[in-house]
Amino acid sequence: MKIIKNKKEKGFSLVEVLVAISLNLLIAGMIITIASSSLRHIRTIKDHRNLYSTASFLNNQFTYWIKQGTNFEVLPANPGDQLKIRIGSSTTTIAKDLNDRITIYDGVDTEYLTDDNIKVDNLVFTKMDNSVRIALTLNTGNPTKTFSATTTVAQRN
Amino acid sequence: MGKINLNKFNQQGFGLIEALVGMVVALIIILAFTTLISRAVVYNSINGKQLKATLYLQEMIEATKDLEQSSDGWNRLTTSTSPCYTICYPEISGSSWIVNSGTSTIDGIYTRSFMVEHVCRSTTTNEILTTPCNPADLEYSSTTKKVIAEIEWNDQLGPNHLELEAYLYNFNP
Repeated sequence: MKIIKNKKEKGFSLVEVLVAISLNLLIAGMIITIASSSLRHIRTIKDHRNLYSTASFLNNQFTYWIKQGTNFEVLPANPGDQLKIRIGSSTTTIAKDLNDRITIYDGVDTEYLTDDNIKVDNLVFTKMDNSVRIALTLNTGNPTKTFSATTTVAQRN
Repeated sequence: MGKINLNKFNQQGFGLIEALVGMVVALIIILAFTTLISRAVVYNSINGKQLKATLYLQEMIEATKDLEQSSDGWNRLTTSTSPCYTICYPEISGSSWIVNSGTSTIDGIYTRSFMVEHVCRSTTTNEILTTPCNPADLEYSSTTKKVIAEIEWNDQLGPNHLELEAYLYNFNP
């Protein structure tokens, strides 16, 4: 009786399968780690971009309002200082509210200078002889992602 | 009745090798993407530092604009013994801005200073001229000065420098 060995049989040995599965798992793990790290970085970039654009916008707004003012008054208040700017016969007030946003009140309407994604940690106005110094700290809800800066805006002659 | 092909060697699909190759290709693509993201993080940090530098630079010009508006402040800036004709920096004293000789460091990375220059104006047209003053028809203005503010800092790409210029005018000579 002849035993014919089937030469066409193909396949992987158990060791080959184990090696391939291990490599697949290793590479899949690397992909997941790298991808999650990248996603975290993308969120960080988005948060910082939001902080920078808000800080820049606030600087423009402070400059716009203070340059129009003929007189200023800084009132220490809770939760942050209030800056009262006299413009003509009206008074515009810039302040931090209880929801950590910056508001501007012109005697009629209240507008928000920051959106819900940005929290104002700190807003300090210091009245100088002919200018106002502004210290500001913003965050995105995550205490590690903050932006702090100090600047000054002089009143117009 | 149709034939059912039970030949196992004709069965098709992805094998382990194909899966492995696919994973390696995906890894290469994700690594390239990650490199881009890392660069974006670096440039994002650089943008933040540049924004702060701009605010600190602007503050110096605004401090001189504060000083411009009072006779005391004007004298502090422009008296013949003022350190600002060489190099100086603004500092707060009480509720006033004062000037000190030299440069100041902020946040440990920014170095800022400014200087005041005489301005040459035509006695006939009052025009500001960049050429040196000729005593025949031009003179240094006692009411107009030029302030040049600068800030320097280092970031991941190396040293950086920003400069701003403004004119000051004494409204109460």
